[in-house]
Parts: sequence; structure tokens; C-alpha cells
Amino acid sequence: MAKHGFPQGTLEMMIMKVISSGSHHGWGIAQKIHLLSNEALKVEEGSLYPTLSRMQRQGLIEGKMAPSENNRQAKFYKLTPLGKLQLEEESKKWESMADAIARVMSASPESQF
Amino acid sequence: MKLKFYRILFGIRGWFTSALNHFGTQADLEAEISHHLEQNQHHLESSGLSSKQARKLSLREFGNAERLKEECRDNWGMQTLSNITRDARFAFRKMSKNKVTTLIAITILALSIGAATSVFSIVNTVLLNELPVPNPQELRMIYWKGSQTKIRSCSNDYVKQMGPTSISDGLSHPIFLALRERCRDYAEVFAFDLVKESTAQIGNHTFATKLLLVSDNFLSGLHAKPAIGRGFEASDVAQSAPNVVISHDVWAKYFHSRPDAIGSTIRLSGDLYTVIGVAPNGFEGVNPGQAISFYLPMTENSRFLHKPLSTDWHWGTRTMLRLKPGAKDKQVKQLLDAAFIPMIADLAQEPEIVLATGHAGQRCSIPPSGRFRSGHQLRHFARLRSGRVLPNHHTLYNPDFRGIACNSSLIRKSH
Repeated sequence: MAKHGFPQGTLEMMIMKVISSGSHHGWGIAQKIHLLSNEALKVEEGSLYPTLSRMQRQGLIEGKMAPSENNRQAKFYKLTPLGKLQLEEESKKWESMADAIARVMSASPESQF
Repeated sequence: MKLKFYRILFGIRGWFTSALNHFGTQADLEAEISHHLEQNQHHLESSGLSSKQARKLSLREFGNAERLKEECRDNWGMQTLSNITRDARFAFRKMSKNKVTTLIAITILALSIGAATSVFSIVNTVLLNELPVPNPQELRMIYWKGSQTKIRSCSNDYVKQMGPTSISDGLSHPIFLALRERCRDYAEVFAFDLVKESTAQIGNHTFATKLLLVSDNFLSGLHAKPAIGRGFEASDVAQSAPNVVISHDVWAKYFHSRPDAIGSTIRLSGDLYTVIGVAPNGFEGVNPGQAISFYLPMTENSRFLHKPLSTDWHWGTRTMLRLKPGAKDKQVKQLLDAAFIPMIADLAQEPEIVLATGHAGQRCSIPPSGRFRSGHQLRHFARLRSGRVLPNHHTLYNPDFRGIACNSSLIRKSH
């Protein structure tokens, strides 16, 4: 497990997925991942913001300060064209990987060897 | 492919945005964190906690904000910058504590930087600079090589037997004339002879100076068009006219760039000469590092030579050529060899003309084969730069002459 508690690269992928439908601020992203995962996943703030800043530097996302729903300044993140491409690629990889893992895990004891 | 391209493009953009907007990003992060805490607090309050408890829980969940900021700064690439600033401050504090050590270190650094710079400036002048004339790549230095040759200084009968193979840049004047004539259609061959020590007197100013004895086609062969006045003509040489072409620097310094400098007279080693022209701005002859102030015609009985020019005593005539359009090195070399070999047959075995690059003048020409004398040239140049002009076998002061004789000579042993 990676240090933020998710398999390596999956937090980035989930962040990209969440903001692919519209821009969100940090707290919103964490909350949405939490809700979408049926409250199974909780993104630590200590890993969320460094990840966001790293992704920004990589040019996957861009942030813009804007007033939030409670009228306070917050940074809203959205995908860049690079981020969109990256998301497509990563989700494809993820699907085939999850599929493969699922097949291995669901194999019946008889079918082994 | 597209992904790769986008990665590079957006990577650069992302890095610049975060690096250039350092303080903006810092403030944004602060705002972001406090917004997050506030949102979380509201969220917890809505699930029934009191405002105080919600605030406390929110802070606890958030964890160490300072560490988070640090991690973000690392991602922006800003940590390096602040580390450098911190290191510089630390170094400065340390240095002011150990003043003597600091002083020694600074002195050593200053000296070595100075030394490196001056070595570079020498190398730059000697090896890299091109002559300030049009199309310098057409210029060639003429060397010759042979075995069992004998070199004798024309002033003191010192004979030096050269090794099995030697390479030399000095020719006799009759050979120069023969070479010039032979390849007239393919190249302009011109000659020069450096006189390193002389005195000049212009009005009330007297100073030590360097002269260049030149063939009449020297300036025209180099395409160095005089700033004002004229260059030499065949008649200047034929009639041994006491005419001089002065450098642009001398014209500016002693004549204040006045056009009436043409026609005025100056004294060189005591004799009167009439100024007929001014060399182009920036042109200092063909020996980089040895700025020439005066150009005199290379005449039969020049007082700067030991013996009349047409005797075969004077093997100090240096020659260069400028290829005419379309002429090839090989072709010109064949013509030069045809003229040269019969004339030197008695003095050396296996003689041959060697053409070398001439774009940077004499000091940096590189013969295609044979001995490259750059080590000697560099040392000599360094002495000249330091103001210590030492006589060597090229410069020999002869008190019998009012002027200075120079150049070694290669001559036939007379007995």
C-alpha cells in the first residue's frame, strides 16, 4: 500500500475522475470520493493537498481561486487536456487490472493448476 | 504520442505556474486549508456536534498543517530555493566569523579567476580571433619544409643545423617574388616582416613601437581598405619612397582623426616618413597580439634590414596569400612548389611548400603537418603581453645599425 493508504496512483486517478464532471475544491473532492465509495474510502487531508499540488505541477489539473458556496475563497480544480487523456488511459489500465485481479481471486480451488 | 507531447507541454506550464507564482501559491494554500477546516467544521456541526467540538475534531482530523505545507512547497520545487537562501545566510555568518580564512579564500579565488580570464584572453587573441578583413577564410599562410636545412642569423653568423625535418615560415625575398609571379592568376601572394622594436616620433610624442615591412600588395591582398589616403603601390617599393601607412589607433591618438594627417611627416627610428594612408579601423596587422602601428614598404635598402633585400641573406620574409575565387589549395600548392623547389634545391633536401590556415593571421596558423609551434608562440605572446619584450633569435638588436634588425636567416654556408 502506498503511504496515503491507496494503491499507488489510484488517488490521482480518483481525483481526476471526480473533477472530470466539473470543478471542485479540495474538501469537495475528498467528500465526493468518500460518498461515491459508499463511505468506504476516506482521503486524508495530509495526502490530498500534496497530491493536488503535485498534479498541478505535472500539468494534469489546474487550480483557480474562486468564492465557494459559503462565500469563502477556495481553490477549484479542473482537468487540463493532458489530465483528460491521462484519465482515459489510467481508467483503461485500471479496468483491465481490476478485472485480472478479480479473475484470480474468484478462481475456484479446483481450477488451480 | 499525443499524450507524450501534452505531458511535456503541460509539465512545463505547470512547473512555471507554480514556480513563478511562489507567493501567490503560498497564500492560496493558506486560504485552501482554512476553507477546508471550515467546511469540515460545518459538516461535523450538521451531524450534531457543538461548534467548539466540531472545530477541535476538524483540526485533529486535518493533522499537521505545517508538514502539509512543506510537502506542497516541495512539490512546487520551491524548497530548493529556500534551501539555497538559508545556506547562503549560514555561509555568510560563518565567513564573517573567520575573517582571515575568508580573506585567503577570496584572494585565491580572485587570483585564479583572473589567471583563467587572462589565459582565455590570450587564447582568444592568438587562436580564435579572425583577422578583421573580408573573407578571412580565403587567406593562407605559406610555410615550407625540408630536411637538412641550415639556419643562420643574418646579424651574427650563427649557423644552426636543423633536424631531419624542419618547418619554417621565412623565405627569401627573391623566392617571394617568384611565388607571387607564378600563381598570379590563382592567388595574391604578399609578404611582411615584423620589426618589433623601433621608436616613433610624432610632433612632441616619442614612443617605442612595432613596424611591419610589407610588400606593396600587402593591404590590397588582405582587402584591408585604408580608412583614408591610400595603401602602397608598386612605385613606393621601386623608388624606396619614404612613405608610411599608420594604424587607425595612431591616427586617432596623435592626429585626432584629422584628414590632414595625410601628407604630414613623422620620424621612425630617426628618419622622416610621409603619411600616405590610414589602415582600416580595428586592423592591427597579421600578428594577433602584436598590434602594428606603422606599415613601411619592404624596399631593397630598407634601413631595418641588415643587407639589401635581393641578396639571399634575408630569409625572414613571411608570406601569406589570398586565394582568388574558384582557386583550389592543391592547384596553388603545385604552382608554388614548381617555383620554389628549384630555387631552394641547394639549401635543403625534399623541400616542399605547406599551405596553412591564415584566417587568424600568422600566430595561429596551423600547418597541416609538421611542427605546430603554439607552445613557443603562446610563451612569446605572454611575454609581449606582460610588457617584457625579450630579444630572442627573431629579434636581435644590432648597435651598428640605427634601426633594429630582426629575423633569423637561412643562408647558404659561404665556405
